[in-house]
Amino acid sequence: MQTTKKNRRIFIFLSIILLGCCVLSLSLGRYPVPFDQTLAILLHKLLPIAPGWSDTMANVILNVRLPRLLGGILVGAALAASGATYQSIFRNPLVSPDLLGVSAGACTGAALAIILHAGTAMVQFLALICGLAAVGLTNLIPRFFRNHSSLMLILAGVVVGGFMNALFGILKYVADPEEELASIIYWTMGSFANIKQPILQALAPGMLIALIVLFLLRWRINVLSLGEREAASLGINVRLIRGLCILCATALTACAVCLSGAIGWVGLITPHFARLLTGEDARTLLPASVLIGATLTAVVDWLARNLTGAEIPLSILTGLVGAPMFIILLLAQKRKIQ
Amino acid sequence: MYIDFNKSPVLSVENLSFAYEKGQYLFKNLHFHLEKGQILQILGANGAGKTTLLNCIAGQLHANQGTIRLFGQDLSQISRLELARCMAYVPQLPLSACRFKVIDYTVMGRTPHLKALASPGEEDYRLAQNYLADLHLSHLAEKTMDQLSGGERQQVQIARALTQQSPLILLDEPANHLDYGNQHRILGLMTDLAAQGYTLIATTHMPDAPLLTGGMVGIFAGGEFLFGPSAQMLTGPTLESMYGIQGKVLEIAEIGRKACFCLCPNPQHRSKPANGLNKSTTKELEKNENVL
Repeated sequence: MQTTKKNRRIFIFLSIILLGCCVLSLSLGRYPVPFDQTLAILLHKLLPIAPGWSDTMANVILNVRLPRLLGGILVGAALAASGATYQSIFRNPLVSPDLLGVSAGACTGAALAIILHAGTAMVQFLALICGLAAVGLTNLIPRFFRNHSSLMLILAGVVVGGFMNALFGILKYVADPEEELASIIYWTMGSFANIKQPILQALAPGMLIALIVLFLLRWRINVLSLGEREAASLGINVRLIRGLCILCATALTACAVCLSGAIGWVGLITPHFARLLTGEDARTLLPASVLIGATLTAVVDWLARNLTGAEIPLSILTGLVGAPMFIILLLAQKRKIQ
Repeated sequence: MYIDFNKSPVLSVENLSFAYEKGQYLFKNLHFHLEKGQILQILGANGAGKTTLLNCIAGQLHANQGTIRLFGQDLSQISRLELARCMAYVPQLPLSACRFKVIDYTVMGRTPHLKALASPGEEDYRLAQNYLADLHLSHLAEKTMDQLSGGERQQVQIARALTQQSPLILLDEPANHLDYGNQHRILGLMTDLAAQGYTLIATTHMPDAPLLTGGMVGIFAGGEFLFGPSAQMLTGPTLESMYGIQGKVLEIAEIGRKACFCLCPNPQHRSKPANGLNKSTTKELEKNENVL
């Protein structure tokens, strides 16, 4: 089959780009490390390479940049995978991972922690808890009405998102504009600066499990994307499978937001990007989205650190980088969009 | 639960009643059964209950009273997965087609036969390709569904139902949105499938459809459900009580079969919704026919 071969080429190409961007991102920065040394530092535990680098170099690469990069690509992969899943199971290309209120909830939690001056760890913790709580609330509403259609769930998400945004507004309104409000705004625009090893170690396993579960459900996601009725007629337990997908996608988004703040655009647009390359099929769409999302965040983080003296918030860059990339791809594949 | 596909009848409906709202029955005490290889076409005006009946048989809606048996087993006792192995469902053509490739869409019919987390493998793809070839659709396999015409899409949907390898196939208005030629091609395909031993149930707005495919017809007319061989059941008065038109069913010697005709779409010279027509209005219509 020709398409399988074509897809394999695409995956190899995407993986190489991702690896390249990772090495680039690790070696370039305010303290530049040569490419060969970066590679040597990364590989010296596996291969017998004589150390030709300074301790500072190894420290910068392994303890400062590597956790941040790993966290960054995990966030990109998580947002992209959950965006692709949401778009498929809700059969709506305009849906993004915050459909069910997770981002609004997380922002509220983070703002609360910032106002209470509870420290970075607490900001992340409250963001995670409130993000998940918001989605929990969204899931309770259809139960209350005994209506389990997708539309009811989406409407519930809109309602909870709106409510959380109002709470978030109150917190911003009462925040001290000099410091608290500024840090709230800065947090909502996203940054990888707060990704440290402990929080990464706490969240990464869960995120990887959620990614694996979504990948295992890839064929069921395809069938769900035909609509509830048809999926049921093909023997799918719609509520169970859809619930599992939502659970994993939501957990991924909540963890991503907790690690880096609310980053717009990645979850919405990366799946489209992947779809243009590999088509609608979740079996290829999910891995392609993961690779592209990870690459996008790796590039964006590198730009955020290096473009100016101060760090640029990620949401600004995801928009600036993502938009032209997407237009170029659209131009290259005009035919496929109708 | 083991379901024996050789058990007869394939489908039996006993005393089935359905009401969306309490006490307001859409239909009451339906009673019929279908044997292997039979086609049942369900006719009726808009809102008369055709699709509701189809959805009850598909296990999507639960009737208020009565039982539906598939191969002798009570439908309500059959799990969703086993139901998908007994019965394939061909939905109405959606307004916007999905963007899966035809071969990937067709292989989705294998879903009820896959293990819990498995994706379809080579064998499943081979089956899907065979069924596409049977319907002369192989040349479309690598196209996406949204690149096909309505007629082609409907045939691919049927190919998916065949790939599901279930002996009973439900079709929701299979000829809808198709041109004249494709409507008849779909009906021809249904006849072929019945000859191969599939049992088919379809809803339709074409009163000629049951005459073309032969087999049984179920008619929602005047608040009642009539069931029987299509050539006997379809008559002028049934067309009248079904659609509120003045109609005739004539044997046309040149084509060797019966055909339906509408003589006057509004015999009472005022619009009256066909649904909810009761017996007295039917009699009124008959009187009118005499006057005319």
